[in-house]
Amino acid sequence: MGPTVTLEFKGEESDLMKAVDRAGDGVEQLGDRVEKTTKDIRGHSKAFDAMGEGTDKAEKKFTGFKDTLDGSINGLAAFNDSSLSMSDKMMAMGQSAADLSGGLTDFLIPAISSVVTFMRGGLASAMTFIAAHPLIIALIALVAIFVLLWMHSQTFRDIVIGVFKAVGDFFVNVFKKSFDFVVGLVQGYLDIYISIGKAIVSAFSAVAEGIKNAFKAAFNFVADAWNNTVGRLQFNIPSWVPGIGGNSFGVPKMPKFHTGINTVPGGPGTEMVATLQAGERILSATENSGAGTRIHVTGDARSWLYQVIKHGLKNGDLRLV
Amino acid sequence: MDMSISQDGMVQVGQAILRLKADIPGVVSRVVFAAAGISVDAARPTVPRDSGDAARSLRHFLTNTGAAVEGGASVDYYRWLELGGASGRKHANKRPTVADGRYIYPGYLRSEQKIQIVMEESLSKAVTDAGLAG
Repeated sequence: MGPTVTLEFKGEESDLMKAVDRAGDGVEQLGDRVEKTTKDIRGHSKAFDAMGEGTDKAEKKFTGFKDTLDGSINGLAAFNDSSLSMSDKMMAMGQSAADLSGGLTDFLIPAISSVVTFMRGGLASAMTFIAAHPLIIALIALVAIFVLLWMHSQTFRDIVIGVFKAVGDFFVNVFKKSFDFVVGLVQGYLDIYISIGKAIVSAFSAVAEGIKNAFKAAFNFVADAWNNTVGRLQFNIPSWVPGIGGNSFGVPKMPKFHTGINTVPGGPGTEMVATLQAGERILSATENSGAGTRIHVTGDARSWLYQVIKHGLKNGDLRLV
Repeated sequence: MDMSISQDGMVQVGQAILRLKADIPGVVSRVVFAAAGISVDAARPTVPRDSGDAARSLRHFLTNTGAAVEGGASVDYYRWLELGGASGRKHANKRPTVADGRYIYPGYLRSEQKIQIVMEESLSKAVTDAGLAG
């Protein structure tokens, strides 16, 4: 066998493996961030659910108060109907309250029944009843007490307006408390919503960063693929060749994806030279200070990488030269 | 209230990346072997033909680190033909030395665009085969 001339094509896969690993890491990080974000959002979603349930309950209670008030007033109006017996008046009051309260008949009817029992059984039973039923039931009991006093006390009847006022104050106090509760609930809702909003922005920023990293990883993966295969082509001339033996020629590395920079380093107002690419946008320091990125995440991640690779291979940004 | 951010295909992307990684050795091997073959095809017509032995001596093959194009395995004068120098009795046959060689490396240089296309297609195919072109 005579002396030969050999052009060696070195296919070094280790760096390419690392490049793919980086792409994989980018995707994995993106997945982790999406998963974490989803967990975060779901965590807040539970808070939303809890608040929603709280609101529903509060609304129901609030409605119950209102219905009870309306029903009680109507019942009191029925009480003034001279054509009705006392029991009928009480039942009319209860029924009207039940009708107005809609879904609250489950406690209003028993409440009225208890009131009737109270009227028959005395104050002790009434107090037991009131103790057994919280605030909203106390309202009915108060009305019942009012009715009882109306029945047995001329003095009471004489000061009925004052009693109404007392009852009114009670309502106000009750409602004020309710309103405070609802206001507090709404405020809590807003606080959580604001915190969720911030969390969403933060989470999406993380997602956006993950996407950007994944994109860059994909670009650099393509670049590395070239640099580490064809880019590592070596033209080796055996060392025994006189004059030029031992020399080798390589293919220039392909530049990687232009990464840009978020903030120019240095003190405020410091000027420096920058290398720019067509299509890039320059922001002033003021514009850049509060700039945020919003990315709406949709679609299939596989298509991202594919589009990136396809785009990179097809357009001039990833010229394999 | 169901709030969530979901991104379809993240797991598949991770799996595809692993498949791509597993395919890389084969991809690299195929690309460099193809590059060597393309270079041979480009170089062979430029080799001077008398008997045709020198042109026919061009071949490409896989190596432990990739592939190679070789000329002159059975043609003693191929080195002289390719790189120049002096050969024959008392080194009487002088030929100007060309550092880059006359046929193989220039053949590769002329083939770069074609090799790039093969590289691009191989990468695209690997990416597609791995499932990243969903």
